[in-house]
Amino acid sequence: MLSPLVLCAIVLVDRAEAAGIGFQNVFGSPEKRFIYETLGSGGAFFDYDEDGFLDIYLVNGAPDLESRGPGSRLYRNRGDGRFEDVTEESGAGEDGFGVAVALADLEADGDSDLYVATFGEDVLLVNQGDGTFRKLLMGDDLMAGGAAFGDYDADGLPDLYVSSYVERSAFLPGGKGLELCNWKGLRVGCGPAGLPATADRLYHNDGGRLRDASEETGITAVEPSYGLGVLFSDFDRDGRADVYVANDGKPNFLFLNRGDGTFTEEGLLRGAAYSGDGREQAGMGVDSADIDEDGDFDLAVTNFSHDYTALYESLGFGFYADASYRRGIGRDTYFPLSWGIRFADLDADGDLDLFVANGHIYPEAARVAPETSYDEPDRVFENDGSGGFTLAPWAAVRGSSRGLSSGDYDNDGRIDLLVTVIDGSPALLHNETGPSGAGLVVKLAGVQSTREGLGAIVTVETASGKQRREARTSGSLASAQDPRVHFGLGSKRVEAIEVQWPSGERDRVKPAPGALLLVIKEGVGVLVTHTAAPSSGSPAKP
Amino acid sequence: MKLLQEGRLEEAERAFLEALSESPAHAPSSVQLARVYSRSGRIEEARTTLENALEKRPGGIVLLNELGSLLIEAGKPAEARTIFERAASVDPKSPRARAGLAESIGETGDLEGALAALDEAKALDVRHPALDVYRATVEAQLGRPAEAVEILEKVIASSPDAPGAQRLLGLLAYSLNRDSVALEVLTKVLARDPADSEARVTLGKVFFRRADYENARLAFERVLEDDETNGPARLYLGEIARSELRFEDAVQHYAKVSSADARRGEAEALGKLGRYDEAGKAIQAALALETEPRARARTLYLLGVLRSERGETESALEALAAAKENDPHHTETRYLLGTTLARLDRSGEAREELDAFRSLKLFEERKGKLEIAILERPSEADSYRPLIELYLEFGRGAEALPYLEKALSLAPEDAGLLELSARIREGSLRC
Repeated sequence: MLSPLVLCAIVLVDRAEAAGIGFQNVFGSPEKRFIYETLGSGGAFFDYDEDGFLDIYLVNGAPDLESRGPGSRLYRNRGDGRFEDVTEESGAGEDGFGVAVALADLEADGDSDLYVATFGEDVLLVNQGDGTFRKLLMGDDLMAGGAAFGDYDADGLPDLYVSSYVERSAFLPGGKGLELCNWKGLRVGCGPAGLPATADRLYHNDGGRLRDASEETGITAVEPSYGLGVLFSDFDRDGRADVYVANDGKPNFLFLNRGDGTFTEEGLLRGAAYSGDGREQAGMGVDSADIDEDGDFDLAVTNFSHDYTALYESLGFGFYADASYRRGIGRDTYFPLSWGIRFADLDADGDLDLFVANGHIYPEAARVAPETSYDEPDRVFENDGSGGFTLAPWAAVRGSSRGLSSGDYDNDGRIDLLVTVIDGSPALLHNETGPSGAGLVVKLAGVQSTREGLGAIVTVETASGKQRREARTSGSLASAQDPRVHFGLGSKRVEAIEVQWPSGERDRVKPAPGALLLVIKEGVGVLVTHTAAPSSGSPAKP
Repeated sequence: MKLLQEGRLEEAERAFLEALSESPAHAPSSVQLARVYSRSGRIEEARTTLENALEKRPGGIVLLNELGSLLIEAGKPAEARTIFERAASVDPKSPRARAGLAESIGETGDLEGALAALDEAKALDVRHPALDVYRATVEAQLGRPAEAVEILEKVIASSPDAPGAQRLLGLLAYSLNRDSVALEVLTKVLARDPADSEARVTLGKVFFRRADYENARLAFERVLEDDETNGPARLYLGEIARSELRFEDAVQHYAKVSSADARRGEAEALGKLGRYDEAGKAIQAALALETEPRARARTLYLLGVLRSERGETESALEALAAAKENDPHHTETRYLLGTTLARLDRSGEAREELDAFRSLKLFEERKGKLEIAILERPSEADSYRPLIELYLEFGRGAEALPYLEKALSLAPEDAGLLELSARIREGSLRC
């Protein structure tokens, strides 16, 4: 007889190879001589052809700043558990030094576009709706650390935030980024501390065209930092999209939206910029979610090794307190160097668990610090139902993890994960926890709001309470998320679903019994209901 | 002599008594017999032996020096000074008499007087490593460890085996954050005397500071093998356990030490384990032991953290306000105070606290860089100036006085430094 522990255990199985994803990342030299070579690149779950199955985009780097790389790849989900490489025919390939990917329907024309942030000129891949992409060069010069879409002015068109890691000049001859520094006795590339930084950028979406609005929005009013993970969310619950940026070795930014097209940076005041004892951490990835179902979205930020992942508990209306140890995250995240992070109900029991992607930046780290290692295992934390976390007995070592994206790629109601690996092949972690069909996926179709409903709060009501999730593609690190929202239900029956759209519109629907996948249109209600996983060729289009 | 070296004290005593019965005025026998008594804890007999010998040979320089040393060891520096003055008058160039005289003066608490005695010896061209080692000791006691290290490094360069030089250099190098020097020197010292617990504890601290917890643990555990009540070693084992997130082990180590630091460490570890009631008791115990304001501030801050974790916001604010009163420069206190006030919608006060926090962070960052610059050029007055100016800029001029004194000792006539000195004193008067 199985013990309850085994029955509850989270089971994630790497199906990348079986699924035909033969991707190999290249990100600078294998020795990691310079700090920029240690970041790695991300990936995305998204449905580029709107067939109802999540496809995968994987960003690739290059051997060095002067060279082109092997190129980013697009893998189409065939709906049978396998993926096919459609990079060439789709035109989605991009061979710059790619770092991050952001996802949104930029033109509100019904299909998802991609933004690939690089260490050189960024690229916008405009989905033409026929399975191909049109490539637009952004003309920028940032060494990007992250990128994310969100609709800050609630005009129904997603805007773009790009975080800047370090200034490129640091790696030109004579630059400090080429010097060696000491880490626990190892000679390693210097940085980012001490390297020049460049301000992040915020682009306003002018009817499908991205315009640099950094100055006018106040984003450049802060001292430039070393930006990585970016998250759009309404942190102070005033109905407007704010921006959080994880900064490496510097205080994190919390840009609060003033509602007049400008932002003020209030990370320090709000308790979300530093660790609980006022230390700058080395912010990498970021995510937020209502971990204790109290109606507020709590915040988590991954950090360097020998420092914990910060779990900021929301105290309401945009104020936070570091609750990392009290909530059970501090101790078991202290030694690894962590990157991508996602809250997801991995065991479909109604509360949000936590997945953290780990991997040191120095290949020889274990030689001087045996408690950590270059390819240290990722970690899963199980939510006890009240927002307290326990390290789950799941571990896998594949390489040095970086990006993390979540989405239910086989539409079985269980949320899956995509983990990117620097200089390695990604893991496609198929969720095989418990029976399939224990979850509900809600796809939003915005009308006044963005087409994906970015920023919409979806609340599912069951007999045992409410679960709130936010539709977004931002968060984690260098990666884009499936904008559909996932709820773990176990055996609970959904009584009602409410969608609070960023436009102010509110839809309340009662789903059909046994619904597995719903499409809810803004101001209309349920458009499509699936009670079984849609088969290939039966798209869940609004 | 051999018997004494081998610790066979009773046999040695008999042998020296026998020798003295044959040659009562034989000074070396009296000295050795006194040493036997001294090692047996029979100080008065040692003293009598030497005094009797001196009656027979009033100008016996060896006897005088030995008696002076014995009196210092016996905690009678004033009497020792009289004896060493006699010795110096007998032989003004006796290095031992000169070193003893300086030490006996220093032991009375008159460190400047001790330095004057050493200067007098130098003026007479009396040269001996012991004089330099003692000068370094005095410099260190006067709060000038960098100068002390400079002296010791010269001594060791010319006399590598000068007694006490390596040991003192190792201890001082640690206090100056010169870890690689401390590591090298203390390792040599311990090879010669493995039972030197102070040197081994310091070596452990060096490893701890370098986050080499494995070697640090070995060092502290070795100290506890000889003396399981050694508080610093036990305290550091607690710190190591806490750094390695072995909070349960940390609590066990701290529990065996009865200092305020141990109670504070215990409270932090218990807090991380969510054992808040016990943490609260440890904090109260620490507060009962602590009087130094900055240490109290750290403990009161912990109390604030504990209360915050328990959601007791108002009483947390009380603790944090008390911490601030004890040490307004405690960065963590100002941060937690500011963020707590902010969420209570007391935004004016919050901004004030957080501005102070930012200012303290900036100060610490700049101070750290300037301190490194001083370590790189300790003998140049100019290297101190930016740090002194920084202290003044942040309204903390009084704290810069040790740096100012050092700079002025290097360049007494420097107009810029004199002006800084005046500004600091003006600030002090204003306070």
